Amino acid sequence: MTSVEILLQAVDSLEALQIPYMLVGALSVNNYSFARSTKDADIVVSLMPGQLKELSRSLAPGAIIDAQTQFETATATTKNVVRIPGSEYCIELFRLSNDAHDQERFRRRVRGDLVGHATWFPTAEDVIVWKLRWIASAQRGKDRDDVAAVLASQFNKLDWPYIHRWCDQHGTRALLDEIIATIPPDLLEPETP
Amino acid sequence: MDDIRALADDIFRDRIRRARSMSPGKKVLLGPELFDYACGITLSGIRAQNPDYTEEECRRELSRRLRIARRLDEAGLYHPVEAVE
Repeated sequence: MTSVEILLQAVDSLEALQIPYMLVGALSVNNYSFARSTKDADIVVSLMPGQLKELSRSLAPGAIIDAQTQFETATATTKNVVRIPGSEYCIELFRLSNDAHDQERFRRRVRGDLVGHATWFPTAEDVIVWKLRWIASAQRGKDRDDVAAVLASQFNKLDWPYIHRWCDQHGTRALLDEIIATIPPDLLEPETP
Repeated sequence: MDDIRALADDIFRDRIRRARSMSPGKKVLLGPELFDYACGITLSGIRAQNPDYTEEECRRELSRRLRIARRLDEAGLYHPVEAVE
């Protein structure tokens, strides 16, 4: 299977099983900015007890869940990695956590379309707010690039009071302003038709 | 330094403008597609560097390099915990 086929099958399985989910990470960044390579599909899921095994079986033929659950320190979420035999592309299943912003971004998720496959994404505002927390915690250059790309692509469509409210709570407002200052100013102006 | 900054801004500007004209779904699917493309290039490099390797050995080397990339990417971010389920 190609990585695109794996992603589409995962989306179709989640839809068929009626499991609440949304595509996050680089997939959501690509949705709101420009495409960059992504070596795994990050998916937030809200699972009932016992659903993880059922889900992994339907994600792809022979899919294997890593026995080890991992805890992510920046936003207090846990994940399981699903490996697909014969592919280097992985699916990372993040459990919906009790974190206030995780709950809110999941509640606000929006419908998207993957060339005929219906799916769910966080809003552009929530991609920015979430990534800023990662930058504050992990200092990874690619997260900073992701935030700049989403900001530059969506600047005049964003709900700024919402972004500022969460950034103030997370202590990432200065970081947000710092990244905005790196974007060429003409990209922040309203687009002329 | 100003020239480099101006060039970087031009490239960024161009990427944003091209992205604005593509459908979101297409951009999302380009992520895994570019990954497969990058794996193909890496495999070619592995074959060129190790002409005596079998295809299976080349794939194992690709997996090893990707494991390293993932560990570097996630260094310090994740800790093993008891299974939730």
